[in-house]
Order: sequence, then structure tokens, then C-alpha cells
Amino acid sequence: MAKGMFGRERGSFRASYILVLAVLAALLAAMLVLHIAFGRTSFSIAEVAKALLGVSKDAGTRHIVWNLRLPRVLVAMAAGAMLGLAGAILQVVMRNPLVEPGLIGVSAGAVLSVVLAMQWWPGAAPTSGGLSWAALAGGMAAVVLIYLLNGRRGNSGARLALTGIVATSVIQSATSLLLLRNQEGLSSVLLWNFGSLNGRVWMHWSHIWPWGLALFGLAMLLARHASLLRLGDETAAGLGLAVNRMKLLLLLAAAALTAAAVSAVGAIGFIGLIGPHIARRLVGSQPLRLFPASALLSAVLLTAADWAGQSITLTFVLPGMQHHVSSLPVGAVTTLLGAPFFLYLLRRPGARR
Amino acid sequence: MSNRNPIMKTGRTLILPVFALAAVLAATFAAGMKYGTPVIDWNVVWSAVLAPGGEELEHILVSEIRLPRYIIGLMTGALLGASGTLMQGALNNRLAGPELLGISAGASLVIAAVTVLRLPVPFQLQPLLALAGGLAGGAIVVLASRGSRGVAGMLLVGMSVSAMLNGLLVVLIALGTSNDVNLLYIYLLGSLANRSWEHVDRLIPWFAVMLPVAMLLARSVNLLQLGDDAATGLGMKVGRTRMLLLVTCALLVAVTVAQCGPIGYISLLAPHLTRAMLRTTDARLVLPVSAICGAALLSAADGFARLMFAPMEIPVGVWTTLLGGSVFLLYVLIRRGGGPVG
Repeated sequence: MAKGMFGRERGSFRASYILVLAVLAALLAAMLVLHIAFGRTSFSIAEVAKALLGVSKDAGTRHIVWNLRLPRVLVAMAAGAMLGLAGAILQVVMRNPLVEPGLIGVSAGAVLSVVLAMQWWPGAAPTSGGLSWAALAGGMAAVVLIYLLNGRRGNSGARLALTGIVATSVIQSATSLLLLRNQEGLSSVLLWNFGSLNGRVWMHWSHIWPWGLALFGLAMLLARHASLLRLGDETAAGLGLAVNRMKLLLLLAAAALTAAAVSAVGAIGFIGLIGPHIARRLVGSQPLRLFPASALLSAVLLTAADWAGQSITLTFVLPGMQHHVSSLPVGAVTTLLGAPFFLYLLRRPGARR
Repeated sequence: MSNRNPIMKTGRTLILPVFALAAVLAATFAAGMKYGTPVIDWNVVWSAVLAPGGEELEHILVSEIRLPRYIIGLMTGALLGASGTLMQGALNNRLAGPELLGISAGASLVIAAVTVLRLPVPFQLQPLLALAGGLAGGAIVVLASRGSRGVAGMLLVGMSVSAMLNGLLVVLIALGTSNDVNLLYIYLLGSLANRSWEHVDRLIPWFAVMLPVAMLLARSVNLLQLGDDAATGLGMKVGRTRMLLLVTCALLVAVTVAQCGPIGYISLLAPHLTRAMLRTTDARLVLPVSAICGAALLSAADGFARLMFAPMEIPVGVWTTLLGGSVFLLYVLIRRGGGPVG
């Protein structure tokens, strides 16, 4: 874990770092093909490749690949990368391994404001970009609130997570309240609060990618400064860093990443926790390396989770439910994977602070 | 005889809070019977409550719909309030509550499984199944957090176990037919709507047995509050007593979850309010009063849930989480670390 702690061994580390990134990118490409190939109607790899390259003859295949599966997998990748990056930023800023956008109320805040906007701001139809801005405002409000509530008194890891979780449940119940009051139908409550990739189309993709790209650039610009934060506030200030401003900037970037992802897919939990952790094992905790690796890895994870959710429901149909096969929301899969992981992090010796 | 002493001493501090709670209960009772659609005259309310039966619409409304609902709210609130005191005593942890330690999540997962998978289980057995689920959830949390002494540590373990159980629950929801699923959503938010005397009948035996049992355990809670070492020194088998308390607590909660769904934060807040009002931590006083307090809180919240956005009704669990959770958050922040003492 101490590898690359202060950016020593830069030269020798670079080769293996590039190797890791290349492997992750290859995995991501593999997931893309797998995700598109497998579904209620399966295609062979060759068919997928043909359809993607635009040389397929079959109009049905082209439609399924281009209009249904490709946007979904792209949205999954973008959302995963953004949540993973947000998680990595938050963990660096708060110097706390237990932090995750879903756990400290950012996702819940973004969801709440999206729901509010859909209700009282008619201009924010899903077709315009208004929802992203609303989500942004909500996510930022939540992160600033949590930071102000906790930041002053030292970021004891467990306590931050505790207040975050309770705040999340309060915000979620406010969301349920609004949705129910508006007779939105109960199914939308859990859909928003757990997150799903069902029925994501090109519109969602065109929403999400500009945010992702811009904020990734911003995060990489800030990464060098962020590495100073890991030395502690005093040291960082002594080295000439405007600590509070830098922290706030990074937090806002993380909130914006989360909010943009959430406005497209709902509050998918625990991806921003697992991704950065595994990425840290692979490339060390130097932000300049951690951020891209974590984004890539989380994209792979979310795509894999969505694929697993779909294939599970398609393979194991419970008795009496053959007529009603809907795919598992991806949020459920990530929660089932992520919560035990969180438990493991809690129980690991030395995770106390 | 020594049992009587502290009660005599604090008799004066006891009177005022109990009176206040009784006033709240009376007010929520009156409002719960009278208001709604339609608003009913006091005379009619009075006669319907005193002499149930009759054919008029108002009579039926009061005696068959509003009255059972109110009674269920009372019993559920009392059970939740008592269970909160027991659990906080058993773990010697003021931040403990069944919703934070996996008990509610486990119980509701089992009930959800019964609903969605259409398991042929009679209604009478559902509390037992919920109990099994609640115990399993609680046991996982207690086992997983063994060794982590910190207060917050245990709660976090509880949260992640709850998150896992909720994940399973969403899996169930995704599998279910939309009709079952809508029922399930309402149930999962925790609601007192559409309850009849049937539900009262199912709840009463548990209520009548479990609440006195809880009262009997107050002495052990008092000893445990002194800390494990002191309690052992006074001749108590700490481990066994703690297990007993937790099982009782799970019983109390599981029954309410089976009937009303997981209603959050009542059992967390009631003991705190009670201790603040009574200015004592003597469990023999706190336990009964916090049962009353839980009843008052839940019936007030239910009145709120029913009348606030009438004719639309918001499940009461949403309100208790919204309000109770915020209060809890404030409490955690004010208390900083949240250690067992103070």
C-alpha cells in the first residue's frame, strides 16, 4: 500500500502502470462486446463486430445493437467511470477509505433534487439538460453540508460514514415522500433510490459524456495538488497549497461527477467504493495514477454488474414467474457485491481511523 | 422492597412527563377519531367509541376503521419504544436501534420473500418467520462486529448488513409481478393504513406477553448499564443476559414488522426522549415510560401521515424516518463521538 506513496520509484513504476491501464482497457472492450452479444437474443461475436462496424446486412441486428444495447453499455461505462472517479477523489480529499458518493449522501441529494425539479420545474424535461443541473445543485448541497457538519471536527472515518448513512436515509425518505405525494407510482421510488440501467438510450449518453469528459480533465489537472493533501493539512499548507480551496474544488468536482451520473442512471451504490480500492491495490495511491485507473476499473465493474444482473434473470427464472422476466436493476447487484466489501473494509485491522 | 425506593424518589419527576404523554395520546386519539374524510361530529365520535356497532356510516367508520388503526399504532409504538430501551441497554450503546442493526431489514426481507414468492404461509405464522429473519439479521451483525469495540463500528457493520439485505430485497422486487410488488412497496415503507380488528387480534397476544417480559428485564438492563465488568462483579452472566435481551428485542420488533412493516427511528428516539424527560437512566422507569412515549410518537406521526396531505396518504414510515432520522443526525453531531457514557 505504501508503494508510490510519495511518488518515488516513478520511473520503474511507469511501465507496470501502463500495463495495468492497458489490461483494464482491454477488459472494458471485452465487456463491451460481451454485453452487446449476450441478451434475450444472443449474437455471435462476429455478428456484433459486423454490426458495430456497420457492415451487417440484418436490419434487426443493427437495430438491437445500435439503438438498444450500445447506448446502454456506453451509459454504464460512463456512469461507472464517473462514480469511480468521484469515489477516488472523495477518498483522497477526506483521507478516509470508507467514503463513497452513495454513502455520504451525495447521490441521495442529487436524486432528491432531480425529483424536485421534475415536479416543480416544468422546463427540466428529460430531453433538455436541466435535470443534470438540478442534480448538480443537489449533490453539491449535500457534499458541502456533510463536509461542514463533519469537516471541522476531524474526519474520524467511521463517524463520517455513520452521519453520511443516516443523512442518506433521511434524504431518501424525503424523496419517497415527494414521489408518493405526486402519485408517481411506487416503482419509481426504488428505481431512483437504487439505480437502474434499463431503457437507457442515446439521449442519456449525450447527456452524460460531456460532463464526464470535462470533469475528468479537471480532476487530472487537480491531481498533482491532491497528492499533497495526503500528507496532511499542515504539511500541505506548509508546502504552499491553499488547502481549503483545493479541498472544496475537489469536493465540488466529485459532487458534479456523481450528480451527472445520478441524473442519468439513479443512485447506484458502492461502485465508487470498490473501484478506487482495487485500483489502489493495482497502481498505488498517487492520485495522478489512481484517478484514471479507478475510473477505468469502475467502468469495467459497473458494466460487468449490469451484464451479470441481466444474465442472472435470464438464466434462473423462478417457478411461477416465467411470464414476468424483467432484468435485475444494476443497483441491486452492486449493493450485493459492495456491502460485503464495505464490511470487509470495516473489519480489516487498522481501518479504525 | 428496595425496588420501590427509586420510584418513590423520582415520583415527582415521573408525574409530569407521564401526564404530558397521556395528553398527547388523548389529543392524537381525539384527532384520529374525528378528522379525516369525512370529519365527524364529536357527539357521533363519542357514541361510536362508547357503544360500537350501529349501522350508520359514521359509526362504522369510527369503530371499524379509525379505532383499530389507532390501537395498532399504540401497540406498535409501545413495542418499538420498549425494544429500543432494551437494545440500547443490552449493547450499552445509546445509538443502537433495531433499524440500524439489521433486525428490521432481516424481518422485512423474510416477509417480502413470502409475499413475492407466494409461499403458502398462514398469517399467524408470519410473525414467527419475521422473528427468524430479524434474529438472523441481528445475529449476523452481532457476530460480524465482534471484537470491534467502538460504538460507531458496530453501527456501521449493522448498516452494511442492512444494505446487503436490502439488496436481496430489491432482487426479490425485480423478480415479482407488478401487483405483488406494489403491495410490497407500501409494506416496505411501513404503514398503518387499512388495518382492521383482525390485525389487532393478531398483535394483542404478542403485546400482552412480550411487554411484561420486557419490563421484567429492566433490572438486567440497569446492571448492564454499569458496564460489563461491574455487572460481572455483581454476579451477572453478562453474555447470556445480553443474548436474552437481544432475542427479546428482536421478538418485539419482529411482530411489529410482520404487521406494519419496518417503521424506523421510533425505537431509537423514544428512549432518548424519555431519558431526557425523566432525567434518569433507571431502566425500571425508562422502559415503561419509553413504551408510552413510543406509542405517543407513532400515533402522532400516523395522524400526521394521514391528515397532512389528505386525501393522499403518505406511509407513516416515511415520516418517522424523515423526522426521526434528522433528529438522530443532530444528536450524533452534537454528541461527537457518541460514547456509551453521558
